[in-house]
Amino acid sequence: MKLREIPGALDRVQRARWFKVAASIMIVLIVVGGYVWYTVGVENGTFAGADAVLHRLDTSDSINENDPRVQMVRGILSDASVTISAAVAAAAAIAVGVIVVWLGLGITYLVIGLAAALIAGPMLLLESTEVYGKLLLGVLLLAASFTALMQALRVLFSGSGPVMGIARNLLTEAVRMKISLVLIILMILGLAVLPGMLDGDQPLRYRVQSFFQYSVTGVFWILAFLTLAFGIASITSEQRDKTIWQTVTKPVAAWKYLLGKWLGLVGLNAVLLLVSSSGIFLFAEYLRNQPAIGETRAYLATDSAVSEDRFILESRVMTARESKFMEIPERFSRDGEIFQQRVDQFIAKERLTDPNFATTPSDYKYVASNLYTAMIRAYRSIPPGESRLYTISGLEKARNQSSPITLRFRIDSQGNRPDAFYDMTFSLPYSQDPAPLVKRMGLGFYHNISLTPESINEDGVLDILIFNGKVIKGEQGMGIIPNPSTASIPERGLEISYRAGGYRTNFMRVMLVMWVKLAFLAMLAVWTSTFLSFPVACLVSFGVFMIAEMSGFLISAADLYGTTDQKGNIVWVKFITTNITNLVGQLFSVYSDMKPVRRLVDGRMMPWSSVAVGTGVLATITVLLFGLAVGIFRKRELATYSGN
Amino acid sequence: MAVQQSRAKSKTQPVVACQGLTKVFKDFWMRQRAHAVDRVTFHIEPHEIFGLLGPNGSGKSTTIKLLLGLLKPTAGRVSVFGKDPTDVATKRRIGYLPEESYLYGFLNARETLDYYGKLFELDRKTRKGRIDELLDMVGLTHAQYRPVREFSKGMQRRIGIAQALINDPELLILDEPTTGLDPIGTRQVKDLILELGRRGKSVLLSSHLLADVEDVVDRMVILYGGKIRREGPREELLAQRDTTSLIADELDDETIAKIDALIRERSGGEQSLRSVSRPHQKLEELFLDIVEQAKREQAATSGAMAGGATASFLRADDEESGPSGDDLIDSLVNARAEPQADEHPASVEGEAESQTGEADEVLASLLEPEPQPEPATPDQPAAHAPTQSHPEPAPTGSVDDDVISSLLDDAGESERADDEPRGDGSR
Repeated sequence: MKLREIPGALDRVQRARWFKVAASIMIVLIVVGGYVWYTVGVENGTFAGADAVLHRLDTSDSINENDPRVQMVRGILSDASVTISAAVAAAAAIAVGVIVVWLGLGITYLVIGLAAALIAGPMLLLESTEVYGKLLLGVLLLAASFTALMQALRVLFSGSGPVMGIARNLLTEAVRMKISLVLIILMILGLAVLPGMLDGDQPLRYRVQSFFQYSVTGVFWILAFLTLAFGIASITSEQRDKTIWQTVTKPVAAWKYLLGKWLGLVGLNAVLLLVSSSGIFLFAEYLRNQPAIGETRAYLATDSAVSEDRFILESRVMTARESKFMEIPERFSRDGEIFQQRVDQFIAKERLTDPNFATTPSDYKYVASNLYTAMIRAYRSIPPGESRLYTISGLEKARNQSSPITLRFRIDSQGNRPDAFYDMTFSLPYSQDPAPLVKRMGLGFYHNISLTPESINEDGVLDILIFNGKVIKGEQGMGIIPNPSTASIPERGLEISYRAGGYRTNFMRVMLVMWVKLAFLAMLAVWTSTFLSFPVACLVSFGVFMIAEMSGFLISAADLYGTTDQKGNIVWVKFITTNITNLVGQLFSVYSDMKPVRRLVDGRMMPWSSVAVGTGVLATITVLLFGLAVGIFRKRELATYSGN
Repeated sequence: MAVQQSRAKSKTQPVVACQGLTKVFKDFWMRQRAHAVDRVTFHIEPHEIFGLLGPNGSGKSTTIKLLLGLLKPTAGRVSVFGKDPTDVATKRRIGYLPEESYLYGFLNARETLDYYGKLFELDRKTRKGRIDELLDMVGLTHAQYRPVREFSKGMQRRIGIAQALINDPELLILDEPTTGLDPIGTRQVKDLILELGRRGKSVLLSSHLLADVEDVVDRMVILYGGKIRREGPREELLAQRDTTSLIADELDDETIAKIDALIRERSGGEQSLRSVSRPHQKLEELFLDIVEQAKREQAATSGAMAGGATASFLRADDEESGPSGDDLIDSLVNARAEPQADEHPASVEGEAESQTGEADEVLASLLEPEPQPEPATPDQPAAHAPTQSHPEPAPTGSVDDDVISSLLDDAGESERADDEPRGDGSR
């Protein structure tokens, strides 16, 4: 037998029934034997622990069993019994081992285990090679997870119909064809290497955020690229190489063929996402249990109850927060009577000098729009030495919980020079503690202040009084040292965020959203492949993907670009460009608004409602694309490719 | 024979029906570039082996693609089992081997057949059984776990044939099936087609290798430039009515001259012997001899092995041909020089002399009067009727049987008189 045939031969052995039965029996014997050996060791004192003490209680003649203290101790020790924990662990080990064997991966896992023990193990013991040992161990763990999940998926797709057959064939192609295997290996290696690239001197919260940012973004982009490139290649290559002839001349309807391809891609993404998300989650938990800045050990601060780094990590990063933003008061409503009166007054005043001012409806609308923008800008601006009261409502949920809330804000002024620092004073006039809080800050950045939930009134409203300057208490009362220039709060520049859920379930929702996005991309790849050649299908698909990812930016850019010149005259090129850009951006706004990575990094809630809406919209688009693909595919003359 | 007779006379719906079938390829600008198929009309009856012949570019493969729904006709009508070619359910009854083997290179032989079996919704047990039989039949059991991309062209053709049979199809469409196959494989394919035909399958065979087609088809059309040039039953198309050929033991020049003189005398000088030659052993026969020898010596090979018996699931019971009729056909076939489908396909009789001797015996037995000929029943062909599926001497034309008898008698007397030993078997 040739060397390259050995892996195939071993694979056939591990999938043979006789091997599975024999291996299962061996696993049970080894684990049970190990458990018995441990239990005996505990009883005879070889292993310390609650069981050893219990055993001494049982065998000692001088213990009075009727003594209530002895009974209490016995009860405590029984609860802490490690024998029961060992039994649970043994049962779990047997279950996992048998599942792995019956998935046909017994020898594969044995080889991985041997590699871990013989290569990674010694590397971990030496300080100089410890990092590489951890890297290798990470790679082996991810590879083992990937293998098991892929095999489980192949079992799931082992039905006898064409849809399952085609889906399973695509999985086989993914593993055996280089284009996909390279990306899979890249992802696994990248995930394993990333933790080592974090700067250990950074605050723990920044390390966790950096890790989330790079790992989740990297995984999503690699999977998106894999989905599009591999999905398109799988279908277009079959048409080009005529392999598809031998499929469509079988009783396979067009919709079954395309559904099988899509299902295979979605299944592959599910496996890869599960593997990578498990790795990301486990390492994030590992990081969480490292000492933060100001701690000697995890959660043990040196000079306070909780260090600031730990506090921010737990309350703003590894959590799920909801936010409410500053509102524009009712009296500033564009449709309100007061605003309309102000516009009429302004126009009347201007007509004193120019009788033809704003005489047409479009001119009136233009003037009203400009006035509204100016009014809102003025509301958001605080002149030097003055103050402004802002309101944030809808905070009933935040009021009823015990964890602190966060005031997040941003101040713009003087072009946001990097060397300019302002003293801003905050006061909560209607709270129990209205004492002003002075904060020195840089311009153009977001800053955070922690508040107590009691700052919110019974109606769920929080009023914040902001001074553009430093409020000081003098002998003659309160005074203010003003800042040099007007301070502005941009849109979404003043918000209250509060804990609304757990980080772990939020992480799961984020991964689910990513999977839904990838499922949409899979159908995009399938659709373009039905009528385009490989390069053109890639161009179209990647183009749509980029537009979808950047749709938020496109809408903002279109807003800034506008449709008119400086004098208010419509420029047709701008008009067309802006409207098309807006249309395209709105089309994908649901896709881009989900922002799963941003939410995870910032510790923001990905609510089920957003998941449901996003899933519903993307599912609808996916089904539409599927219908288009089936219609096109049925009309195609598959014996021609690219017109040849 | 009864099977073959019933094929021609079947009154059931044609398996394939083309009426005025036309395919014109257009370019990107919708200009007509090529008339690949031009008003082609033919039909294939159930249980018939039908040949689609023509040179390269004559429209054979295009016609097949139109039958399978891979292309849409520009004009005309086509139906398969009475339905449109794109009807999905109809494809359950069809097996297709394209002109090249378009297989998934990353799958091995077993996985390839398993995949196609799933497309037919065969359950696991049935798939496994059929895969084992098909791999044995095409001689790829030893290479079943090798990726298809590592196969030679012939091996890929074999796996292609296997996938075409995985669903035990009623209609088998073979486009250049012997391309890339060695003579052994070619012989096996031809025997397989014959066997499938005997068992009631309909076969559409497309090829430009005329020798491969000639031996097996019942009817054929010959295409050129997308048009049908000739069509009809094989015997009708191939019969040379103005020639008779005789096969005899080695004759000396004097005997040959006497035969020529007799012919001239009987025809009044209008006819004569056109040519006399010593036929050579066919190259195919020599090739098969050498391969057989190598097998007896157990020489190693990593290529395709000789195939096994036809897969049992393809040998469905056929009520029209009872066992006794088939045995008779097989015995007649075995009596000739050609290798058999039921036996080892590469077996060759060996010496040409023994082939000649046996052929003479059969011919003699056919010509001598039978004291009590077996009554022909609907299920049993007459004992002396030769099978149509094997090449045989052309039927006698203008020279009557008396001449032949007299010639043979004269030749026998001449041999007995000379008492010359036979040579080394060469003719």
